[in-house]
Amino acid sequence: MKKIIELLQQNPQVNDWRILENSTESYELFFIHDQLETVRKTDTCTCTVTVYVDHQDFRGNSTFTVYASDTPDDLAAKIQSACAKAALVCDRPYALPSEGTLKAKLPSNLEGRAMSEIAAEVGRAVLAAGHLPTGGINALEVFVKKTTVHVQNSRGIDKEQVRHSVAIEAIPTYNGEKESVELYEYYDLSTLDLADLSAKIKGRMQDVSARGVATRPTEGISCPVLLTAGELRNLFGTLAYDRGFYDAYAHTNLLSPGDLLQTDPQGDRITITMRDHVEGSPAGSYFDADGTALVPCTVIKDGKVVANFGGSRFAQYLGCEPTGELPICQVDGGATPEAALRAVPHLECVYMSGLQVDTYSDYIGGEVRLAYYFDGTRRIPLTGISISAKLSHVLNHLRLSSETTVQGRYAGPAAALLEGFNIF
Amino acid sequence: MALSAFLQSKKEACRALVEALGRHFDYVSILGTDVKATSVRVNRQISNVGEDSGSTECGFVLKLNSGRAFFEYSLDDITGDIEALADRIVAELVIDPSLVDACIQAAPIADEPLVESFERPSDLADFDEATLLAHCNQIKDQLLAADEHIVNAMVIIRTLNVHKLFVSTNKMLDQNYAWVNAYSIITYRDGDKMISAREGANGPCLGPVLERLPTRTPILVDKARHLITATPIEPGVYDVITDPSITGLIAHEAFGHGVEMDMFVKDRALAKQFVGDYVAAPIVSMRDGAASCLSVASYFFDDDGVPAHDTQIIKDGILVAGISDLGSASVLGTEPTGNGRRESYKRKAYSRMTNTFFEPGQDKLEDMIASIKHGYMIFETNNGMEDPKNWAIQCVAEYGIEIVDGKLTDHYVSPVVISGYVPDLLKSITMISDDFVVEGSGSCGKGHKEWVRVSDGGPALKARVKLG
Repeated sequence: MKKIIELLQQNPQVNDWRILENSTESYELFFIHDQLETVRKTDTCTCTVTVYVDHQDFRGNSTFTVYASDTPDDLAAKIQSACAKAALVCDRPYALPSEGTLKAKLPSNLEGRAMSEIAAEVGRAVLAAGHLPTGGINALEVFVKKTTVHVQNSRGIDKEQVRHSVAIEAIPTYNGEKESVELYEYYDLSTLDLADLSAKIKGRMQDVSARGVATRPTEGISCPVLLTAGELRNLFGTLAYDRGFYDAYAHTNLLSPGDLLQTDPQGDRITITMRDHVEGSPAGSYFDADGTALVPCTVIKDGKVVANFGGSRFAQYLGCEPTGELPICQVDGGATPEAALRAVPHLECVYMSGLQVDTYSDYIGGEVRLAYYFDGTRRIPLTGISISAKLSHVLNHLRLSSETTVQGRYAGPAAALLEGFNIF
Repeated sequence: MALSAFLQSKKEACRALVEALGRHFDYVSILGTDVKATSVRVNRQISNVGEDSGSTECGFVLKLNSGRAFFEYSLDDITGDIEALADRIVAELVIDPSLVDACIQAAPIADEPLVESFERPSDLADFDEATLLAHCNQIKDQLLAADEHIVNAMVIIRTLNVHKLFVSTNKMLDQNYAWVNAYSIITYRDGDKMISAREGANGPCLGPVLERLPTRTPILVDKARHLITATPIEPGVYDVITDPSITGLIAHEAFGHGVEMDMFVKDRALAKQFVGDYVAAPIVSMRDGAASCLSVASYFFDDDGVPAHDTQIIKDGILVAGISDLGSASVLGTEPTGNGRRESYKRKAYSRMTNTFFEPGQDKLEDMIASIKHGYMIFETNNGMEDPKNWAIQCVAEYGIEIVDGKLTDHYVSPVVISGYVPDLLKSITMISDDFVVEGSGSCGKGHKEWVRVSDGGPALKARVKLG
């Protein structure tokens, strides 16, 4: 890296530079049924260099990738080529973040252990938890990773963070007399709790068994829809990421600070804060790709848009303080215990093809592969149905659970009851 | 396009590493990749010229087998002491003692002798970045001037320059080819309503793409003016006509994923039980293969070193065959079909689709539309989700146009979510148009990861489906 920096500093056309290294060591196991199909090991690094060239009243940038085999001559040529490309770009000037050093590790209980041992432990635990007389885990992939991100720039940024994680893709399967059915599970964890993981898999085995006996409804259903964290992550994530500085600068976000997200809230009011860390989330970070320190930012408060968030460049263009590209969407819990939400008749959508949320088209909906219809007394597994609604109506008629949970980049209500869906 | 200098310089090191590891494993192969992706992008406020670092890659992945579990090792370079590197790889590919007895059994892997260099002509070198940037700016300015409601316009030209080297004991293959994708995207606002619309052009050479993209500008603006008036669709079951993009999406989600044969190994595909049976209307035929047509997923050999195929998946409504990578074929005891693909050298190879499409029929599109009393013509893929085990399907289209009394109206609906049960959908197909388009701009995940570039398409289909 010293050689690249030296070459960048020697090139008179380079006004600023940034080097971003992303190194990954991983150990991966792939199981089919309870047999080991593939063992993988990776030791790779992606290193990109961005050069910034000022010309007339403009600034341009261009990025290239450094290969492990690049010689000093290769690097000098790549820098020169990138300068020529950057000089073609006539963007408004902006400054790079400056003066910050950091060397940090994100909290994890995976550090210091052999990756092969962790992967085997996870594999055994998931397969054991999924074992049923009528089913099991048909396929399992375990990825144990150590990722190091290092960003340096010409203005004194030199920050590095190390993240340990384990990602798990599992396919719980139920083998009934007439047909076999499956669900899809994906977990990305920074802290491994085998008991919790086993409990989740056992819960999903119950769900997949329910899918095995689920039927298509014989008559129309009209009731509120209950979504849990997996789908709420998608809903609130879409609302949150519409608040980015880039979209605001490009005039492509629908709402601006001061606008109402919930125009006539009949239920809970939505508050979303973008955060750098939340305990239990594997997405936590100290800085973004430019090295900007992350500052939590409430973007929606009580149903009203109050701020945008994002990195240094577009913050400067908009005259705002940069928050950095915040990775985690935290939603405030509501006033109602989850048990109370579940006490009224509802359709709980347990497993969807993918909840579609479209702010432009004011749409929310999708295909439901497993749902439980609670009619007030019975909990009936259903499949082969779809739901759709006007997003604006749903947002005005939702109740959020007081209990919160963390799932990937989402931290917020464990469940929400939403009204206004067509169920068909 | 000849093999990149980087990979050319590594041929002997690859040979030596295969030989060194061959002392530990029955089968050893190494795939070297040198893929350069570039992007020229402009919008109203900013522009960018440079590498598309998400798709650029350069490195190696080894695949090793001795009749039981497969081993893979991904690394950036193989420069230096090859014997020491081989020892390191063997030492690091350990299996926890508790799993040693649980390894799968695989048939010996055939390593047929083949030494060949493949290349597809490309004109990428004929165009510099200044030319591409000027082209993008010209289209962007035309779009912004076309309608005051266009709040932003983005024009993107992406090039992919692929060099791959495959070396095993008996094989030395390299392939070199390019692909170009270009898009115009506008954000259109009228009062409180906002929509986004796009048009694209793609192909193996830049020149034709640069000619075609500007011709889409008036179509794009007209589409945006209609989409801003779009209303939600009334959920229900309708007669529909699918445009080639949605036809391709259905092929991809309905039966493409379902015949990826690593899913057969895992008992994750219902199709495994239906080979030889009717799974679609008798007028339906479907194919997949890197050699089946020229599009974004056309290559000469896959990431396992298996030559590209053209696989008939459905013939006259009957499920004929699946598509496989080397690993799943060796477990199933079948011939691999050249569908072993990796997201990059950092990732595992799986059975993946390439260019997937329904074959053309004999109907005229206008007759198909005229045959519908009330329904919709459905356009443009947004996304889809497979369910190969249980044959559920979800396909999300950007928009639909209402058909009334056999004529397309001005009533646009958006978005349109197609859902249902795959055999119901495929058996409901009653007309297939005699034209044929494959869209070369897609990408596909397996589950929710492992993204590869794919194309899909076909003719227009008339079917009866649930829309919401």
